[in-house]
Amino acid sequence: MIQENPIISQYLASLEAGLAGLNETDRAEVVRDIESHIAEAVAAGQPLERVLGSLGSAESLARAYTVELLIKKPSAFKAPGNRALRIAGLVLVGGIPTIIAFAVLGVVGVTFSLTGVVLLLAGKAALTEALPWWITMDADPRLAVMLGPVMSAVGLALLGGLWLYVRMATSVVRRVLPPPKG
Amino acid sequence: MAENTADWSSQLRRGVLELCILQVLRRSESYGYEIVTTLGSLGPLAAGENTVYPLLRRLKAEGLLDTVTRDSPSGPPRQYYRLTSEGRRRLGALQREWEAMASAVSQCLSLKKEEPS
Repeated sequence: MIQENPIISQYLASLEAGLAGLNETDRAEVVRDIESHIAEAVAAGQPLERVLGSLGSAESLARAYTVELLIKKPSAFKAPGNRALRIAGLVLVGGIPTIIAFAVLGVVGVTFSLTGVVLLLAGKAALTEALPWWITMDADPRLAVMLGPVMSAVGLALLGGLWLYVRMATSVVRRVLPPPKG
Repeated sequence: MAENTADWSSQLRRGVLELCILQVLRRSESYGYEIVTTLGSLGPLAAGENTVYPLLRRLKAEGLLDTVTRDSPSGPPRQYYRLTSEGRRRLGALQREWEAMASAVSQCLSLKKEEPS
């Protein structure tokens, strides 16, 4: 049997070793291609030495595969697995900054802008003695009226920052992810 | 001088090999050895195995080809390469591209030397 020829199995083993950069499925299919090529050529009457000579050394054949498959245009990396992998990577790297941005900018922004408005209204009401009976205000009403708008402004600025962050993150995501097929 | 031409034609072949492999597989599905032999019978298109086999894998990685394993009457099972619908589209595009290029080149080669007036 041809597969038991030690020269051929040695050749295929070196080829497989040289393909370490490829994933397991690809590697197995490449070895199957070459194994089948050798068998077909020998069955067609070519001497084994000529067949192997024409293939070139196992190392250079492996290098040719690696160059063609790994050092190629990005379109070679369109496989769905890679897309999923990229999304996972993006979530891992981008997830923590996003959580911080939403927690700090979002929560503080909303709280500050609302509190500022309440403070302004409450201060005004207290100054005109129109504060409803269920609200008691310890703070100086004039200070509240002054502080309210400042707090609101800070809160709105933080929300603006969050908006910029979301836009920036969206454009990064769009750039990293290739468009879906179809 | 001879090496220069060899280098040039090998680059030229590299460029059109993708088109020719797709066309060979449009005719019918085929396995590596048969593809290499078919191209080998086409004179200047004869490319080494270490060019054709890796290229087949890349075309598969790009989704232009897929493979199916079938038994061989002799030896280990063969991997048949087939054109996918995306491969068919790519073949059409490359063919148009090639025809435009070929006609431009022959037009260019038929340019006459300008008569001094």
